[in-house]
Amino acid sequence: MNERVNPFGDLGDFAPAPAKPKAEILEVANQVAEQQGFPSRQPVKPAAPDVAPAPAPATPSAPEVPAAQAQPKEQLPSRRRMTGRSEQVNIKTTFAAKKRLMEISVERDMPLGEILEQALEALEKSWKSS
Amino acid sequence: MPTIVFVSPKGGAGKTTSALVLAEQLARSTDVTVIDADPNRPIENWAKGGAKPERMTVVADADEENVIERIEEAAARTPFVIVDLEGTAAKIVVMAVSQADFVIVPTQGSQLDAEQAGRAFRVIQQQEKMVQRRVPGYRLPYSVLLTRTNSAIRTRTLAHIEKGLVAAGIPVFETELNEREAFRSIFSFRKPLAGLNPSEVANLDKAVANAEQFAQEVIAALRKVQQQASEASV
Repeated sequence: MNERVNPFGDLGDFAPAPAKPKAEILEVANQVAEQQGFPSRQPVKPAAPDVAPAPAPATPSAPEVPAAQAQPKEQLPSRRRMTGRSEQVNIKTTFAAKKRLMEISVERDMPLGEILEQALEALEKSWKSS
Repeated sequence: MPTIVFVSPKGGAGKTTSALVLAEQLARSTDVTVIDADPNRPIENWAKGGAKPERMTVVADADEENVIERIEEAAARTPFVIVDLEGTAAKIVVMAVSQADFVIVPTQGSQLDAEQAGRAFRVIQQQEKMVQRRVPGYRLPYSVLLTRTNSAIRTRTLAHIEKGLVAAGIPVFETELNEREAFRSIFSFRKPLAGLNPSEVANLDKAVANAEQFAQEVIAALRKVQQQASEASV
């Protein structure tokens, strides 16, 4: 489409502005936000949560230990945990091994990361004892 | 000078559309920074279409912690700053309002929208009152923009809401942003109004006229604010 005649003319009377006094503004804004019910919705930046996907719909058993660390919002039956484990390992395995892992996770209500740790510990223990 | 903040605690009121429409019109004559402070970054996505007007800059990394700095930086760089916010009652909204020279509250003609707009007015009014205690003569002007209205028919609900706003002393722009295919096409084609093809978008000329009228009314309102401010400082 062709540009038409600019209907606004000269806007030169509007110029960039110097900053306003910040400390006072911030103080007032904080008070207004609190009193008017405009809470912070900024996502907190925790360590990346350990994600343990469930193969089947998860059992609706309430998670016990990590609940205290989780964000205080509506709890859904999810395998997602806040455990502080933030490193990711991608492993290729057989379907059977993956299924076994997932079943243990659901049955024991245990994050995948924890299963890996305990499995490694058990493995090392078995080497020592042999 | 003017930092114009678009506020509505309710989603879908037309904040992003009206903010972008105004920014495009202003960018025909002057430099404008659009701060996309909506976490969904609709304006940043729109700008990825590559048809952003030359005199428009989009800043899309604003969050609650840095929005004040982002607005300050932009206001020092370009004459006009437009801030688009998320449609929730979040603290970032108040932070942005604290930096505003003018607040626009887009509202659809429904009771639900009008009630949520009331929350925006209370924030603006309280902000003004509290700053006045420290800075006598401080004013935070604002106005409602009725959005997605029908250009041909005036519903009774809309008339009722407008009457209620006027009776409550809430300023309302005379120009309404009509429900137009062209305003939706801005986002589907990722182009400014001026970049849309009239053979693909119905009534594009009417949408452009609507956008120009809205921008002219905003400029007039800003000039009035500037004039009042300079009179107050004399």
